[in-house]
Amino acid sequence: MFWNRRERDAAIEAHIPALRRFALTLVRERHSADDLVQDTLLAALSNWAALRQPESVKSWLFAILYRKFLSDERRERGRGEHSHIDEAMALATPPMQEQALAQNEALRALTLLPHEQRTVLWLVAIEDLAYADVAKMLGLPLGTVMSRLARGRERLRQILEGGAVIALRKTK
Amino acid sequence: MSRSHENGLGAIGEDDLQAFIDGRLDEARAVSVEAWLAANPDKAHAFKADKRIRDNLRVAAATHLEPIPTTMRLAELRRAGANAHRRMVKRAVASVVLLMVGGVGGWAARDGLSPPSTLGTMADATAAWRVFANDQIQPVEFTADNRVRLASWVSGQVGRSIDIPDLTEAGLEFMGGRLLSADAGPAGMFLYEDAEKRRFIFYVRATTGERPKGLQIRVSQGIETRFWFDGRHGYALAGPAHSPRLAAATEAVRRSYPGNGG
Repeated sequence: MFWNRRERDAAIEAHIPALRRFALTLVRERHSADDLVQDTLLAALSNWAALRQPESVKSWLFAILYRKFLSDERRERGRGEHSHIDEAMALATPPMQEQALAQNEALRALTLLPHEQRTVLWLVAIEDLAYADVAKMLGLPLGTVMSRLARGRERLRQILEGGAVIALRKTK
Repeated sequence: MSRSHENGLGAIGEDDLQAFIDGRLDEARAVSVEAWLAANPDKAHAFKADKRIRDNLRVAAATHLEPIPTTMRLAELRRAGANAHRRMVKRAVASVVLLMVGGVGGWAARDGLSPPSTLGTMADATAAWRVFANDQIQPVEFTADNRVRLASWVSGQVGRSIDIPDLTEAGLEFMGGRLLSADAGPAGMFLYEDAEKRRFIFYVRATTGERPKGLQIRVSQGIETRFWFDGRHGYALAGPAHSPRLAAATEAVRRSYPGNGG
């Protein structure tokens, strides 16, 4: 692949907002999330030559970020569960309308899912990544991705329809 | 997810249902799924809810897309990286020079023993190669397409007009370069790579110290440094030891920068 620096920068920077948003769902704290994104960008710059197809920039960047997250996670394991407030969700301003309420509820409910279901759902439903790309990125068979997606959706629906979100939030 | 099931109702699977929610089915398959849902009203409710939740998630998540902070601009990250590298080189070079002073002092005290062979004149060129030959992040500050600007910047800093040598005949491609701050003053470093991705540098700086005549060759720890001096400047090429490319490149560079006798 032979792009000049400006094209390459533009191709990568286009995904920074989505990368930050995804990082926040993973680490749940703004500074760590941005550190994760910065590490991802540095790795992307230095490994640019390894990227074969320009159209796969997005899934490639997400894969780098996720691998970095996993290695950080492994390093930090043993320091206990995350006790941070979910900043991603705390950012959602108090909803004014019923519609906005439902939307923010959906996002809050997502944070209650087990990590592996949340990640698959996020990458598929919000980032629009192809199922096959998500499978590759997470190192899972396609079938596992599909069943996590199905289980994640089922759980999400139960939470939202059962009105469990608010109660669960309060117990945090 | 479309697995050409050709409208077979019985073949609807979980993967089809998920792809249906995500709007990733082709039309024929989507029609089959709709038919299946019509025949299974107990499931239809759940899938309608899932689709609505998906839409809500997307709308809510869109409010979390923020403008890129300046610190994440790639140009900014590169600059920050370059500063970190400059500091690293300065440390590397300074430690080499300190070691060298210690070595020479020790040598003088012990009256007659040679200083350690790893250190010596133009050791900063060797140190620069050690740092940048393996740097995969940002070995150069100016890439090859900024050749003219790099040359004029380095020329101004080292006090001599520098033409960046073309070493293609020696099998080396010019990658770019940077200005370094060695203890002896500013130095220009020009990075080259051969077809096997081995790196070589041409290094130049002003010097007032020891200036042996003729071409000097030092090999230590797998690094070969070939250097020489003229009235006011020192020149060096460094690369993997015993490479014929290094010898050929040195010959080519010495045609433009002949140095003192020898």
